[in-house]
Amino acid sequence: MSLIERIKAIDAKKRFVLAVLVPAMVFFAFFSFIPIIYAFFISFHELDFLNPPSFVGLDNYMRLGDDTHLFNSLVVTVKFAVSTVFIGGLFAFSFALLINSVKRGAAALRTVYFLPVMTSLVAVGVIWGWLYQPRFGLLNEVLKLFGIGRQMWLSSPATALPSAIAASIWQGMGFTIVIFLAGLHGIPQSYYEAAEVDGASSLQKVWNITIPLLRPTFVYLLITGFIGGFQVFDQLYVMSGPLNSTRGFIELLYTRAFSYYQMGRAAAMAFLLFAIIVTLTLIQFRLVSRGKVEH
Amino acid sequence: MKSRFVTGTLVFMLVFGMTLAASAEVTLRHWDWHQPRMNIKLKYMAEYEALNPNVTFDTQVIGWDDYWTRLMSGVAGGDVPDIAQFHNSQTQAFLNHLEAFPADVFDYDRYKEEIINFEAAYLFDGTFHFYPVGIMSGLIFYNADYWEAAGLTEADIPKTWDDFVEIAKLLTKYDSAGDIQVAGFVPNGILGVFWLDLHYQLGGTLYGEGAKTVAWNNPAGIQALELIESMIFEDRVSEVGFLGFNEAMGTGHAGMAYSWSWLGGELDNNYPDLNWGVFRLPTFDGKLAPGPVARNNHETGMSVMRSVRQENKDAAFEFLRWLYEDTDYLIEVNLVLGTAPSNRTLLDDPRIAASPLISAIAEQVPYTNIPGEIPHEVENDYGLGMLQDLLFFGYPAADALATAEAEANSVLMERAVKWYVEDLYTPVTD
Repeated sequence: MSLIERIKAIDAKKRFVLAVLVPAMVFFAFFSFIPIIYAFFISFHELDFLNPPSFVGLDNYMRLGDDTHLFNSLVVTVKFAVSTVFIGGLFAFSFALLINSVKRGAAALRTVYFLPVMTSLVAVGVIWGWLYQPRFGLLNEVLKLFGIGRQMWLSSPATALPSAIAASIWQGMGFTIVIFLAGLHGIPQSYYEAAEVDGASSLQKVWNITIPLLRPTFVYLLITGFIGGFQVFDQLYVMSGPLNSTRGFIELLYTRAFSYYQMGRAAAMAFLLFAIIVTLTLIQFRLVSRGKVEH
Repeated sequence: MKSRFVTGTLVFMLVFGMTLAASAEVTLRHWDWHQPRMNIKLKYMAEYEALNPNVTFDTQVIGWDDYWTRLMSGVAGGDVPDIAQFHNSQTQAFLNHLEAFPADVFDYDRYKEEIINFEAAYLFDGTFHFYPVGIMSGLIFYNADYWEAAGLTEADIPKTWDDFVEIAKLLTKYDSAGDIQVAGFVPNGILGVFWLDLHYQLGGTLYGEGAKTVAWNNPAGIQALELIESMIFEDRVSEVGFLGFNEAMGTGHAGMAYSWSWLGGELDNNYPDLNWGVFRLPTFDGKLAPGPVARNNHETGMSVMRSVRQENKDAAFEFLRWLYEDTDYLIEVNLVLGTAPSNRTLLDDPRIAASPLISAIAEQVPYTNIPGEIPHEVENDYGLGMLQDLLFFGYPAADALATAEAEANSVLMERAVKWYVEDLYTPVTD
């Protein structure tokens, strides 16, 4: 039976499914799967793309352990991911609760809080860089009005990372708010009405109804937030602080690959990051799968 | 009859073959990262195409950050331009992929005589792979309006660092709260590079013997860094967290700033209303000789990629020979790049003399040194680039140098410098 005859033998519904799936699968294979396999292959080689690769076994992985810059960048990345997920999440949740209660002007408000999400990360970084400028930046000028002395923001190793995190939270919060709002809209109003009849306060309603029923939303944001946080590049690259205080893992990986041409080592770093993210995600799944709430 | 026919046929084939060969179409692909330089090249390429109808050019400008990634992936994938604009910071990575300029087309002996640092900066195993175009170094830029307002004239241009500090103090302006409004001298953002020039002036070097380590934490290095420290913390001609040198100059917040000569082009392009001037680096005793008084680096020209077809290589070298013999092209490119011509015979050209910027470099360049390759990490992230931050955040000079030195040495342990020519500097006698 020829290939065409075989295809004809498949029923129309399956043919449609195949027709839709195959292009996506081919795209995925060429632009994701094969490069991942190839990256795994080169992680065992010394390779700069300018000379023939040489097999080095596990050397690239072993050397990761001795790399103090890598450890530092990992610490920066963990701080970034944890802060943006938890502090950013807390702010977004609070704002979502407030916005959810707004009846008039909700569309205009949505535009305002979502605008930073639509703005280029690099543009945001440059603008915040100017706001943070210690001598002539707007933030210090405002603080001066309240008698607060000059802050170094991105220019100090102590405050650079928190400053970059704050700007990133501002930039990404609109997206998180939208997800929370979608979750809030899915909670039946009758639960709140019943709670009101029982005399529950606003805080009690949030604690006993909203938070438990938003659990799937929290899980989703926790997992995607950590994955995104661990892959941070643009924000920290543009809002860089002194003494590598904001140099994240991906920036170091990028530099190793495209400034130092250490492709093998960079690939090994990528798989280390992959292992970290998979482990964290599994832990998160395990933690959140306990005590599911149904309604 | 038969032999005449055979002879006739052979002659016809020879003439026909030669005609075909002469008119064989060649398209030369060329990449550069600098649009203003490409604009000049396009003008000359059009001229060359008119002279050589069988040659056409296919050009592309790719931003600096992407340029080397593209070239690297092009080498890996067999898709490279015939002629690539080159920069010597990439020598170690790409040298094996660049074709040597053929000695029967390019006059090596003449270049050895005419081109500054030719043997140190360009010859690798007796051949060169990228054409010498210009040379640049660190200079002092100043705001000419502030200069005049302070009652200073050309005659006040300082020759020593002591005089320089006094002028920097004179140019510094504070607001009512005592904060610096105009910094008299801004090394911010380029402090490590500035420090290296001071280090050279005090007899120091970038590298230790054989470039296996850097040689920074020594009395000369400490003295150089302490001079900068005193400018900022005692004389208060700049401060921690002030604008970077280029922004400060451009926005009128600097009386003077240290920069390499490319800043001239940036100021003209981005701040066309700024009235700026420039002078060569002061020294500790006011003299340039015997030098070195600063580091220099070369703005290199184009290279021919090794992996392209032989006929393209031949056509590329023929074009490059034609182009680089044209002194007008070399002058134009140097003017747009803010570099002094590498060819010393062009330094007296009236167009060069008319440019204050290039005149200042030309005055200084014979007393400057090229160390060879400086790995990106040593110059930026884990070396010279750290000095400013370490100094600004409380490290004493010796500790700052020791920390930066240790970081730089750890890089050199992994990435040996193969192109090292710092020790070839010959002291100049005036």
